[in-house]
Amino acid sequence: MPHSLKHGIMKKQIVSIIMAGILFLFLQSFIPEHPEEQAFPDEIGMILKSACYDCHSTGATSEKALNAINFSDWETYRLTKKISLLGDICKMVEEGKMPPKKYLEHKPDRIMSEVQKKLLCEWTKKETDKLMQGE
Amino acid sequence: MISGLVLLAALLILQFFKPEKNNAPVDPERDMLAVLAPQEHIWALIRNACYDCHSNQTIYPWYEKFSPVSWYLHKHIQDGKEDLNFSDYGQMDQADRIGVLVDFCDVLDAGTMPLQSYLLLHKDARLSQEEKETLCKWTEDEALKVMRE
Repeated sequence: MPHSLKHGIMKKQIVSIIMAGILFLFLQSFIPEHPEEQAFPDEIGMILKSACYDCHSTGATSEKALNAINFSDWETYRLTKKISLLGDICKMVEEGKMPPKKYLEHKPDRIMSEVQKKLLCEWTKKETDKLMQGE
Repeated sequence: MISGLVLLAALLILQFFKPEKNNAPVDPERDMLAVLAPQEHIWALIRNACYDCHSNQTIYPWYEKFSPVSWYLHKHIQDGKEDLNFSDYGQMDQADRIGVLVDFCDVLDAGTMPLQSYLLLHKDARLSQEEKETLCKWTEDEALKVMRE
């Protein structure tokens, strides 16, 4: 193989590697900053994870609880269902029906403080208004 | 023999104690069927399947006349109305009305309502799959209307 030809192939390889590199860097700009769009604000997400997720998120075993609400699937619920569930969340927590007393006996660290309850209900109301306005 | 007579006497005396009937007049501003005025077949399905326990207008069966049956029914109706009273629909806020309509379809889907014990003696409350789908389509349409109010 003539020396110049070998040189040409190497050059082509280098150029394509550089091109691939540029393409790779260019594609980075399309990756969303939050790979998984968060369904809930941090503060609310933390409350839900602590007090609700054991029974109401994917991986839980009670079908009844998951049928009632599965927070992991929140984004898949239709608009009217979300509004209905938001109302239920606040009501259940305010009336002390959820988390169930039996559950809290085993896991007293999951008891929601009055502040947390208030925060949650404020959020459900705000979120309901947002959804009603079609945001 | 004597205990039988005592029991009979007790039952007779019991007949003098009857709970108040659940049959207030329909309030056109608050009653769900009056407010939403669905097509007649939908109106009839809801009236027959739900209103005996979830409204202020129970249509009583003949055996209601006898205590303690009357008390058993009374308790059922009170519990039902506490959970949901369609006669109060008109005064609920927007979000609660959407909640009622969405839950309506969900309990039909899940088969939790109407109660099995109620269906045993109320044939016209038994809903076919098609009727459930009709009702679910109606509730969803109405819920979306409430959203756009």
